[in-house]
Amino acid sequence: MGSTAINISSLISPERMNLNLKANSRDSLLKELVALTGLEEKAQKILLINLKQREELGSTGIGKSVAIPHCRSLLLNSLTLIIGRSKSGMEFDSIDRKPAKLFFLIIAPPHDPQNQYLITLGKIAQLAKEINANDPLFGISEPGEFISRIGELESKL
Amino acid sequence: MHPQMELLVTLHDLDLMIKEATDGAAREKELGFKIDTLDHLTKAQADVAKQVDKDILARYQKLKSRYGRPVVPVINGICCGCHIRMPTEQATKVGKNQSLSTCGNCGRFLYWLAE
Repeated sequence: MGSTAINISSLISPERMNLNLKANSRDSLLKELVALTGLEEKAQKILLINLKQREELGSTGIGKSVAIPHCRSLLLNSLTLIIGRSKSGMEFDSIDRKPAKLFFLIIAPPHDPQNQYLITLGKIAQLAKEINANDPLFGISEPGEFISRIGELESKL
Repeated sequence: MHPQMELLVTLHDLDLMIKEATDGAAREKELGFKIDTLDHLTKAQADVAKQVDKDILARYQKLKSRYGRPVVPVINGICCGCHIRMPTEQATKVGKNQSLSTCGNCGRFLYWLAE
């Protein structure tokens, strides 16, 4: 599958989106995002450990108020994208040292013959470059509108 | 989930992260991510491994050297390691992840995904 075959907006669902994250620390924010996977409690705990380890390897805050926490895990059988937004922002050790507000959490299964994981990661990283400080994504309250806006940005890539 | 399976899944995911960070660091850096030293990951890997029962860890390491991935998911009753269908008795058991199960064909540890 080529990069053009992956459509980010189609990977997002309102059930896996929280546009009003309440967390007040990086770990609790990741926990809030992981809760949207719907996995059982122990599986969520393992996934959270995995994501924290990935952040220790180097922050996934790529600047412009965007962070893309990501990992592979046995716990899910398909690539999963979770969206979160913190209106006040969260210190995420981002490259530009600014708080992150938009979070794209990507979890992929180890078995990924078409390498969707890296392709999706790359596409979201590209998409993040199109997001400016005044982007509607920071203010939209309707999940459907949010997904449409992602689609608009994606069409520019 | 069986406590030893929790550890094996954690260890498996850490092993994979270390492998990808080693093999794919350049790609992630190219995308704008920071990749620092792997030291803390290898320490975490050793810490988790210490908690796994000795015999289970030995089997895990043996399977890892043989297949690369010693723990595989079961999806729709199929072992994702060797693609063999699990026997009905095993596939229909309630609370499958509450015990430590292995594939009767390839021997890999099995993590049963919800269907």
